[in-house]
Amino acid sequence: MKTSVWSVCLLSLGSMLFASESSATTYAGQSCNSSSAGVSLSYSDFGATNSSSSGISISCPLTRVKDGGTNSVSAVIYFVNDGKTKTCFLDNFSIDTGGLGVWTSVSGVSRMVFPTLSTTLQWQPLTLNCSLPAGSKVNGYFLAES
Amino acid sequence: MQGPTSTRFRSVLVLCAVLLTGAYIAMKREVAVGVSSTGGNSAALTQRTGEQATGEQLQERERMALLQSKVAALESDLTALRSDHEARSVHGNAEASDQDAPGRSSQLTAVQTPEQRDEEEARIFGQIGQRFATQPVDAAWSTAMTALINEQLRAQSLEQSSVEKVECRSSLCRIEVTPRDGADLAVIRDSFRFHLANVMGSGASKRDETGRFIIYLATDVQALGMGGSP
Repeated sequence: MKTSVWSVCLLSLGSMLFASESSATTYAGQSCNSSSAGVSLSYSDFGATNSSSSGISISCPLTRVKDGGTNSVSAVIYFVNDGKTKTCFLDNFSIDTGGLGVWTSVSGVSRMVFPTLSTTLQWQPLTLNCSLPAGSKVNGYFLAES
Repeated sequence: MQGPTSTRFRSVLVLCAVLLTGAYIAMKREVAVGVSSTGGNSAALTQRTGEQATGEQLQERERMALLQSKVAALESDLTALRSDHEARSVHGNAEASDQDAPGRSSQLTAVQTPEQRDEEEARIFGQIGQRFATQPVDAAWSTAMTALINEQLRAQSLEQSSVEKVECRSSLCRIEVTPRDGADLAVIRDSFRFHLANVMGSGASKRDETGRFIIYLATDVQALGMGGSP
């Protein structure tokens, strides 16, 4: 009983000390768009498919919930496990302006976890840009902000 | 400045103090009641042998000692947690003060104006440049990465732009590109990063004051100085 009280106390303290306010948002794969000229994605339940006969690039927008500062962000993206390798970039910039942009990337087949970007530019958009092989399907993605 | 975490921390501290005090009092009472009932029930005591009574007392003492040691350990943990929290608060305040210094915008507050944004971007890009400039050269890595980038350049043959310089250190490479007027910077950037993502997965790019497009490629976000825990 007493041990439980101590445990609850310490756990509460620990969680208060180390937990930070964070948010996580999940997006459906249907939010992605083709960024390859003349090729569109085929949208269906649980995602979007590259129905063309060649690989394309897709862009999947992210919306920040915590847009008041340069919070760190991390992301995960899910594809149908078709054995084909995809490469994705977590981009934090608007290339049009020629301003500062930073990115980090991952390659994989199905579930890809991006390294955390600790310094982010809140005035620049966040986007996932990926290669999508012919026939591959993106299921969804996830943004975590802290 | 008191953040919500600090307020919650205080509330939990108060709650814990109350719980600790209550539990300690309850423990003391329990021990006291146990002792008095043992002392008050003389009839029962007379039925026990002296050895049994001594054994029980020893057990009580052992329990008491064990509980006291647990309390001491918990108090020690609490002190350590409190110290850690205070250290973090001091560190956070110091960082905020540093970032609020003239000429530097705070990372914790929104950058409002285009001028502030430019200034902040220049500062961050300058830090990456400084990191690159001070990084020692790993000859083997540098040679291999420079060769890879040049190979990529030959394969891509950037029609819109000319690559002025490629330089690699030990985990960072710097590529200077002079873009043609109206060049698509995204195409230039992607021509490098997509094909080199397996060896240099992170990067940063920006036009400098002369109009050149500077691309830093890094083995990871840590090498870029922009990585960390989520």
